[in-house]
Amino acid sequence: MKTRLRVLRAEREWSQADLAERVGVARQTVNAIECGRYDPALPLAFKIARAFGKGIEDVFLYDDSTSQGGVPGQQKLTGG
Amino acid sequence: MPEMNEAHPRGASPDRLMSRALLRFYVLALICVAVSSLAAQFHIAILWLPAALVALGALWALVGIFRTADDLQKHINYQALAFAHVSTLFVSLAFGALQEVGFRCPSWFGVSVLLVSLWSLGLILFSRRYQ
Repeated sequence: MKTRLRVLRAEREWSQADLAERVGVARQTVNAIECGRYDPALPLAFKIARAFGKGIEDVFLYDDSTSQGGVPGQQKLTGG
Repeated sequence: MPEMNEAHPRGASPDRLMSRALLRFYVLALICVAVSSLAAQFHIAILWLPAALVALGALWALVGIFRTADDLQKHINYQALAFAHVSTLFVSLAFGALQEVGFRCPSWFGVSVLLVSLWSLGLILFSRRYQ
């Protein structure tokens, strides 16, 4: 999953620590989400989106190519 | 200045809360090991009661770790716990097999010490993954 955290933070001139304090997580968590190493659970994703005053899909961008499962309808059919 | 967060209204950061909870757990676990060792080594039966109480305290501190942890810290903790349990399973199976062929079996206390040690190692290893 891709995020726009870095851009949105830069627009507001917030540090990772500022965002972490606003949503009640450790700075390491914000860093991991921002770098794409960790996908947050829905409640945290909503909290982050609300901290920026945006919808969840304005902050987090779902990318089929990087997900493990993908959408069933978009999977290639094999055999038969 | 950022507004006060919802998850930790008293203002303490999750990092600090987690550090305190971990420190509390390790201190209690160490005291428990020390008191249990004294009780076992010198056969002082009365010491088993405080050892059990301190062990309960350590268990409570462990619950506190999960209560204060944020999303990622919980995730790391679960991974570390899974790593510790599976590793302990293999090590205890190995010791069981060695015992069958005549090796001397270590004390049962070793299992809990091994579990906590491997959990700590897991915390370090899996934390590095997200840095």
